[in-house]
Amino acid sequence: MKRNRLISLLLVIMIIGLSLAGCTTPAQDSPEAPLPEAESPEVQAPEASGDSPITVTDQGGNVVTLDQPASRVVTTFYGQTYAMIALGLEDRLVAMETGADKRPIYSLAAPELMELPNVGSMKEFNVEAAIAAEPDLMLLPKRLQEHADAFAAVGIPVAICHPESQELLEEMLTMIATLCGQPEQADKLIDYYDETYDKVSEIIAPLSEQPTVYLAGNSDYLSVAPDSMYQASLIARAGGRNAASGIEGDYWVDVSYEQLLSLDPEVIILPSEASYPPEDILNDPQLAELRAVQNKRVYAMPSAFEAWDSPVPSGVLGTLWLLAKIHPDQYSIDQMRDDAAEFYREFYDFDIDPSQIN
Amino acid sequence: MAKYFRLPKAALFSVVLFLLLIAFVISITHGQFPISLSEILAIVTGGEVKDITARVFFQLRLPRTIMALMAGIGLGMAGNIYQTIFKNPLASPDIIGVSPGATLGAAVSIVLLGSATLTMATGAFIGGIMVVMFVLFLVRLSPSHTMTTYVLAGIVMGSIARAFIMILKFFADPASELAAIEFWTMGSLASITASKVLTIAPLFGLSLLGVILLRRQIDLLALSEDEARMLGVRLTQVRLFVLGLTTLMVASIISITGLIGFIGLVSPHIARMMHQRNNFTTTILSGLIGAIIILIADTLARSLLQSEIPISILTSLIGVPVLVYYMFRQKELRS
Amino acid sequence: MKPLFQIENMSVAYGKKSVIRGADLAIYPGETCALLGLNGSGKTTLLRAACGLIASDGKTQVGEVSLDGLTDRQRAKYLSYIPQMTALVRGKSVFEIVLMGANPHLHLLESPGPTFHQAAREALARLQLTDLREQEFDTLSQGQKQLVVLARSIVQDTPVMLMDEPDSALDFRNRHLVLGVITRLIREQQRAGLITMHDPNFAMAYCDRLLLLKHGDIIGQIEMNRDSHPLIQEKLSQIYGPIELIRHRDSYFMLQRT
Repeated sequence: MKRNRLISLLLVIMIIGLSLAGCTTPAQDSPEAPLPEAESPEVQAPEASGDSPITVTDQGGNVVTLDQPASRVVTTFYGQTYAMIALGLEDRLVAMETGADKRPIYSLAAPELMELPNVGSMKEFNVEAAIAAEPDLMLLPKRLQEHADAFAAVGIPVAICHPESQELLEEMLTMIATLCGQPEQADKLIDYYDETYDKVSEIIAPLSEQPTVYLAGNSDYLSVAPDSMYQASLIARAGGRNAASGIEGDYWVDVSYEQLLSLDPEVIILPSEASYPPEDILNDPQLAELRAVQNKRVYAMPSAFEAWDSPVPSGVLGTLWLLAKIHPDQYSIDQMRDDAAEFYREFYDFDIDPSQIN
Repeated sequence: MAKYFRLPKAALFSVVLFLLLIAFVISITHGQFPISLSEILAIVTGGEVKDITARVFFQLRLPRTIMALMAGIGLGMAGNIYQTIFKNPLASPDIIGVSPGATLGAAVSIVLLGSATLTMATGAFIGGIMVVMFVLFLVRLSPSHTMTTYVLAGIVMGSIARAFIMILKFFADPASELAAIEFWTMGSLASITASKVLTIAPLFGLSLLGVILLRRQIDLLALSEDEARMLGVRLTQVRLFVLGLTTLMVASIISITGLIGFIGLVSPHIARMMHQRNNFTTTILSGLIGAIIILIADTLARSLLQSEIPISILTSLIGVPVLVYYMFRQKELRS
Repeated sequence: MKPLFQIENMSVAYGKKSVIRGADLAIYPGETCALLGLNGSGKTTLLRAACGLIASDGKTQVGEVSLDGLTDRQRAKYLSYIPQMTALVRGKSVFEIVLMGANPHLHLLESPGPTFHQAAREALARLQLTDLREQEFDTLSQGQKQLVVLARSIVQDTPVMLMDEPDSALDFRNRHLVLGVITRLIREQQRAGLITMHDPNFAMAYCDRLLLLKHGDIIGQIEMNRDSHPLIQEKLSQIYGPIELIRHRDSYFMLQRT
């Protein structure tokens, strides 16, 4: 009796072990596993010169040196992948973060990326999967910089990215474009940003009235973006005042109904990735007295493309959209649609469906 | 008196070591970076392989497998020792405050110093050791030095540590820091490199050696306190030593892996079921079984999905059925 | 003859409550003394104080060696101890338990060598436990367990053996067996034995001397070979009240007088 149990226990362990061996071994040899070098055509190093090494300081403060422009890049965070697309460098990606199917922009702008091997995400990053893609440049967000050692140990250069504000976003774009030997691609984007923000500033400069805007959190409208969040900077750029400007914090801050009622914003904005519709707020009996609710000025940021409320390359469109929402007389939503379409055509190389911008 | 069948010691070890070898080979040949068994043989025998393959093998794959081996041995042995000296089959590193202490240390360094692995590991190590020192200090202050006092002091310090962890979590940035703390408590061998393993190896080796040398005293601690004292066991000092060494062992491991659940609880039970004894042989057996479980769990963690799965999810999935089995088996023995 | 084990003026107090007041006792080589008394008379406290397990005032001496101020480890070379009931010790074999008796003679990190293995085998053989050698200790009967612990005391090889009601958890036959083995061993090897006991009949049957403890004081002693029948009855009644002592051949039996 005893013996049988013991033996069966051992058998189970062995079976698990062997079936494991059985089901994972073939995957390694299967043709879909990336066979670098042999298969992928060498991307032509751009005219930026292939001889002199490229040196930049990354956003973790480390000096990164490449002998040649990077031609095989692995990204680990969607912000980096977006940047590669916006810079027109998406064909240099050999592996990317997991979860591409959840971000609509990939299927619109670069459907071929959906076929790339995945390396995990910020939370569960797989070092070996990244190395298996044999990159010559590894982009890591600051939160994964602990893994930089592992790549250093196998001789793969790493650049740390930390695009937490418009300035840092521009810095990252320049850094990536430079490492890929095409800094002018970043210049083009940054010029566009400068122009657009100048234009917006001109529009709002003469306005005396600045409506108060409540930028609600992703998971719950009883949380709000305090001033130090990137999201809040959109409000100021678009000519509004942050309803939560007196509240401390560097991430979504929870507020109570009473607090929200006393803030009494004129406009409520839901971020692109909000998990609830504007109707939830409009129908909430506790909030019926809010000015924003009474005037039906509760808007959800479009979610069909990218999270415009975050520091991504298309974040500038978030400011334009917000401008159209809080100052519709100065800048109409139709105009915004045209500008967005032009932006995506110019930098992402595809045509959007303007009706998806509400 | 029913006599239960016992496998002879040599046979028992042959089986366990054989399974360990299989688990080791599976672990070392599996991962997202393709390295075949023949390539490994070539690396070991000095044959021709691609440069990157050799580097991945020596810098990542082998260290990770060795870390899994060390973690299993350490947590399995420590679990058995805790259960013996606390005379409690459910004792685990939690009971004396190592785990909450290490979590607190890791949380402090994540929130205050950022989540670089080395600072986090140092923080976890210091936190684990500190909380245990406070526990021992608390026992010193109390008039009674029985094992119950240790357990109570462990609960007190563990609760204080958890309260501080909650405070830190409250102030942590939910996007990055909070997630990092949560992730740390689920454990992972994903960021193991050769240099990290080499950093903790001396501490681990030292504590392992100490535990092996003190094996006879650990056995004596299984007796009642009066009997142990009357057999000349210097109870206070020996307890201090043994707890210190096991704490060092556990802290050195979890400082770089994060918390790995259930191993310290489950492997001693399997070892006892197999050996039908509880002595130092069982302690070693418990370590080897822990190593087998972690090797399998870690191999699954890195190959089931393309992303890494936290290892505690898998060790718990493996551990819970064993505990349930143990629960029912116990009832059967009583009736 | 000089006493092998001696306690002078020992007092124990729990907080303000004095439990043992100025107890004196001396035990000679080969002699087994019983510590008799009702519940709450302080038997166990006195024995534990003699062991050094609880703090006490007074002097304890083994031969010429004073035990006062010695560490547990040093004391373990002179005193061995058999508890009323051994605690649950999961998963240890009989032989492992017996071999633990070697501890006071080893360094902290030393393992018992062949000499102690031999001693453990002999101790088991002496108590006819050789067959149980590899059995798990916890699966034994109470009587067997007490014999195993006695074997451990033999391996510990101390001049003085202290026992706290070692027979109380045993059935009739096992009590006779265990007490017989203990007293014979003490006599043969010229050790000194002190046993707390509940039942005066067993004490009279096996011990050389009975120390009578009442409310924390040793109020008298009975020497089984020397004291007369009426004297023994009188002394016992100081503790147990109205009793009748019956003599049958060389043995005495105490009965409650009705």
